[in-house]
Amino acid sequence: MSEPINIPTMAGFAAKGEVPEVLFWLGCMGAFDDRARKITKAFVRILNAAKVKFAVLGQEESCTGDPARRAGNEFLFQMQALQNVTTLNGYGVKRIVTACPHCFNTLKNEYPALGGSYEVLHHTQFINTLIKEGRIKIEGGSFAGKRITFHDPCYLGRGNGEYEAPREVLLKLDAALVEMKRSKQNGLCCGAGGAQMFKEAEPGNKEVNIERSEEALAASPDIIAAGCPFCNTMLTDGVKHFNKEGEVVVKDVGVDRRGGGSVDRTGISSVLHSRIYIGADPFRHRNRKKKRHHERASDEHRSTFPHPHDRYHACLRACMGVQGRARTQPRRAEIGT
Amino acid sequence: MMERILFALLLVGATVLFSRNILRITRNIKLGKDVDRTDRKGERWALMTRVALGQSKMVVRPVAGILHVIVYAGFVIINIEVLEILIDGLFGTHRVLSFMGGLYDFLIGSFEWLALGVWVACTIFLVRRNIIKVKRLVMKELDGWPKTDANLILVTEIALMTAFLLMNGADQLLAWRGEGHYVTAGAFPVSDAIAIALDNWSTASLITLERAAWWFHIIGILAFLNYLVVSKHLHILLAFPNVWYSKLAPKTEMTNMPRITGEVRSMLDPSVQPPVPVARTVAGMEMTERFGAKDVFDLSWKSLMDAYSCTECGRCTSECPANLTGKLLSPRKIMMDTRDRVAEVGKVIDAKGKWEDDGKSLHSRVSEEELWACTTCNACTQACPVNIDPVEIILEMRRYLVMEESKTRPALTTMFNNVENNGAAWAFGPDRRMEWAEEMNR
Repeated sequence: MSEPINIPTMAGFAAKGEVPEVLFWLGCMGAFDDRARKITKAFVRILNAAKVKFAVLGQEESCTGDPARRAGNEFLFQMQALQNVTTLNGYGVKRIVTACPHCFNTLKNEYPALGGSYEVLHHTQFINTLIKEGRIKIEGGSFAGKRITFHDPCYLGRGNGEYEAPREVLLKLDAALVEMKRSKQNGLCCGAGGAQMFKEAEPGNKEVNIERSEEALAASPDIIAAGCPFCNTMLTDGVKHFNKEGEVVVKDVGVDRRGGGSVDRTGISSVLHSRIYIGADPFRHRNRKKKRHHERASDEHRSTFPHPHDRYHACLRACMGVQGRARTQPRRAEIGT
Repeated sequence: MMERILFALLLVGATVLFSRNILRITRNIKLGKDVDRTDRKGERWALMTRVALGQSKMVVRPVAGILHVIVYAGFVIINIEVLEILIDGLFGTHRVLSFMGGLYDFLIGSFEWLALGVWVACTIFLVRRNIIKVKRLVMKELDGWPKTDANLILVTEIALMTAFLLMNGADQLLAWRGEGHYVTAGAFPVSDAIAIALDNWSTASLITLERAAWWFHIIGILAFLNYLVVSKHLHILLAFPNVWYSKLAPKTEMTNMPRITGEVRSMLDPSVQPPVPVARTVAGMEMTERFGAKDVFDLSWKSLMDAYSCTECGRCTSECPANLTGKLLSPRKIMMDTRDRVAEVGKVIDAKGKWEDDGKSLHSRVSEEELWACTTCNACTQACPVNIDPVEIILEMRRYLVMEESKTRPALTTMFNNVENNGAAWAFGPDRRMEWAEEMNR
């Protein structure tokens, strides 16, 4: 890189009295998770290549509250949401793009009821528009003839009816799009939604991500593409599982953004969140134990804090010392590029 | 004359009984909380026409779907003949609509083919349930009454169709023989074969057979009407309103809880008064507003209508990622549990005139393990042919567990903690949110 890349922030724009064309909402995965950060960086390169005047919130961005809400903690969701709405409205944000379907769903559908109405786009929709408007061009063709299968994230597809934008972008790569047995409206979940990402799976005989990865591999793709950082992690884990089993011949597809910077490569890498890496890494799939978590008795708790409001805070403050087998860090994609 | 009086009495009795039961079910559905589902009327009518009338989601699975369309068409169209049966029964006429001539021939002819179609389809359904044992039709939650219920419905429909065709066959033969008031009316493409087979019967036994089949058919229909209300078969009526009142918002959108918005606003700004919980009187008992759903009273009336509309086909469960990977959750069971619970509550209200706490709740039937297995992917709502939404019930019950009982999964507690303290689901503070930007220049 000849010139250092500066990431503009909303605060920076506000200081200059300007308004960006669009706010890029990273999401916690996009900010903290190793794999998802690559998507973030690739998307920024696309935005720069297309000369989009964008900004991020930086340290002012906070979790949308999606996982808290799905896990039943409406208080926490609303605290997050009201705080974010205040920030967004304070900057007069009108248009948001995000690479996370969960943030997308919350910002688009759930913030209006709390006073925050914005035009919200998923990054695949945004990229598709950029291509259609001729603001970026696909060059290269390193994906020509590759078999790509697209995994529909539930919160983008079934949830919000967007099946075509990601596929249209993929087709621009001259790739052969192959569909899994269950796709679009009937797509199978990766297993991470509804706050499952942050907890152990309930007892069962299989992991959802293994089921889905198996199906994806059955379409014999060169590349599995997803449009969600959570799906990405789940499918990457799943594909490694089968790699270990020796059932899949894998080769590195090598979507390397580092050397590049061409629109082709960045465009691709941001869309293809999940790749099949063949034989490159030792099997690291964790065999998660199906342990039933014992519930903490709550009677005593209830009598101590009769009001739900107090119970909520007690839950947050006092009881949270009980540590589960939580992932305190995002699951890293344990693969080399 | 006696026949006509008897028929009129039966008809009135069955109608009164049916109306009472429908009113009872309506009351039970209204135990739920209010929710407005009357917006975007044009869209709702179109949706109902497509999904309920047009069976668009049924045929996603072609075998069961097409067979179901035959039974459905049979049900809807053969009811035109029931109209004639009612008039004949009340006024002692015979085939009163036969004056329509060619149209009547066509109608009766198509009823016959449909009746045969229903007969065959129901037989195949029985085979699928009891011999082939299609997985979703033999799952654990169907043990006992649900299984009996399903078989009873199919056997009854086969019996009704048999009676209908026998009646037509005997009727046709009697007309050929020029007996009494039996007229040659209508075309009988199917029962002609029956008529030929009955040819060596005496006229007297044929009249007995015709009358017996006629009575069996109409009593069967009236009895079946009243069976609906205690059966999963109620879907034949509720499918239509249930689709009309569908959630039109994006599937993954969760309903807001304005009271909590008020609570949070008052926490953030001490000058704002926290909202006062609204009590509501349901079935003679005052209920304070809860966070989330403990019992059926805390669900929306639409969720309760969903429960009554469910015909336990199990398409939801067969698409559910949790269920497919061996977890305890079955969206169908959530709906069955909700209906069984609301029926149980209804019985208490019937017995005591008002609701009295029976020490049980919806959580007595649905375990935490089931609730926490859901990925909220909405495959179940997508799969449901009548737009039932199990996810809403699951999420409302989770809200209750977390906010009223402080029951959650330990890992989720950690996540809550992180979100509250760091603004992220993981233990990374806001100061690290821009690290990726530095990496871009490395």
